[in-house]
Amino acid sequence: MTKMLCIVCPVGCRLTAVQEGGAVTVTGNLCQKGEAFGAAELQNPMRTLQTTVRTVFPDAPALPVRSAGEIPKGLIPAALRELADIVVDTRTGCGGVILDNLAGTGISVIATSDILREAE
Amino acid sequence: MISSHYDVAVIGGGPAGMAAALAAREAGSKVILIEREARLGGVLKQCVHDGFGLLRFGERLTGPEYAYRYETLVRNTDITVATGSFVTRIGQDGGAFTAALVSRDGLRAVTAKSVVLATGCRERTAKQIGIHGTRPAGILTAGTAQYYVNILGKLPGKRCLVLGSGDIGLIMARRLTLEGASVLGVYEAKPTPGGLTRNVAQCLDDYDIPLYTSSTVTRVFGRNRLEAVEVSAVDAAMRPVPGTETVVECDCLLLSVGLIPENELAEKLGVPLGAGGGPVSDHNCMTLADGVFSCGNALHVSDLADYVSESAALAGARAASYRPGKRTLVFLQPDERFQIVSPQAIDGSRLTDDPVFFFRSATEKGRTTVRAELDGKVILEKRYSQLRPPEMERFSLPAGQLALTASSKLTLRMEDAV
Repeated sequence: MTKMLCIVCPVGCRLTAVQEGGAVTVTGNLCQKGEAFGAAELQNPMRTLQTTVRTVFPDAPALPVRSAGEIPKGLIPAALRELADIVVDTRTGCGGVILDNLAGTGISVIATSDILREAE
Repeated sequence: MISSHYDVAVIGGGPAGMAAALAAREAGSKVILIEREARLGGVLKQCVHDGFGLLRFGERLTGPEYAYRYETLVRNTDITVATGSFVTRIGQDGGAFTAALVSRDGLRAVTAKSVVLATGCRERTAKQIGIHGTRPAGILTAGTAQYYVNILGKLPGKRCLVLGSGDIGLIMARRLTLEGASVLGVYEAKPTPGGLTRNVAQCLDDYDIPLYTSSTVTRVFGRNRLEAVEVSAVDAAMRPVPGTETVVECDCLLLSVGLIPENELAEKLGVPLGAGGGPVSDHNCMTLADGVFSCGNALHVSDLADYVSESAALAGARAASYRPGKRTLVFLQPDERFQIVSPQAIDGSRLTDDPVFFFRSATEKGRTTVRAELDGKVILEKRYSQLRPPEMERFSLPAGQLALTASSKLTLRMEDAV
């Protein structure tokens, strides 16, 4: 039995997840998203990564980005190492793809700000 | 001096100001949105973490994305957007409001029939919490550190310590860790964390960053650059306990010790402020000065941008429909279990929809019933599974049951529920 806090939304349900065989039973959740979160958290915790990457543009040296979907929590250090090598040199807009296949997950990394286009 | 005329002037281009301007425009007003920075978005520009928009857009967005959505909506209207414009003077002249704006283009005047103040909030600084010792570089507010990292792309320190467990402090503990700094711990003088529980989970627990409650920084060391801090345990009255001092070597101290509504312009307009630092307002977000509306973190510090947008949209709509006239203000009388209830009053003469209120409890509580009584008659009973001071809650009162007169008595009570 594992107790955890659901981080999907601001309600913050206190979940209890129990694994029996292959199945996970989650209690304490107010919605289905909480059930999915509790099960994943026990077996393979997933997170969306949000960070910044460097750019060549002096007016906006940091570009906010995030993974377009969730990636395994354990891959975050590897993902950060990959992103540390990136220097954006095109004026990519909000939603534009910065990197395909983050840390081998198949998930891309997208810009979350329009700062490069605005600063132009 | 060039002068232009509007129905509604919104001051502040963050999430509150943008939502207020949009709502005022939708209601048919001619609107100007005034922002002193070069870009719209306010603090959201540097809030690169996610968790925004779940209520407003049904999606989990980062701060810049949430701001971008609103900015796109604003740019698709004919709202006049005055960025890089600083309000240096504001006053009332024969019913209309006049504001002097300074920008790169020079000085100009704006007049409006009503004003929405969406000026946000400021962080409490080192000077306001009184830490002993020297004044070296490396001591900064969590929001300033956030600006360094997320906007300038610079790391403010390599061995960091966070004092105060407000949301920005928790977010920055994770952010600095992701950028390669070591965060030695978050120190909170109170016995419970100051931020949202989910932020303790996803920012500290996920990255094994320790949280020390009932402890604080009592001294800083360092000549030019911060070299170490002394931390001490504190007693129930938050006084440091002698003999518990430990010295921790670090080069950066982040402060996340509270936010204060920013109301310099409100004060220039003679608007009375309440205990929480925001203007005393009625349920339409109108302050005690007729025609002056307040919303977002300038009104009361919210923990969700979505709540900011909600209250700001109301303020914008009401500013658009504002006509001078007498108000029938009935002030809510909350018991001592409420830390803050906002807005503080209902205007019985301008009551159309169910009025919405936001509140924080004074202490952590389990199952609780909030009960509103009008002249002894119960008009609302709402149950909450738990209440925590860092987590703002909301309720609305049924407009149909709010037959208010100047002598009406409206009380709010919190009771333990089974």
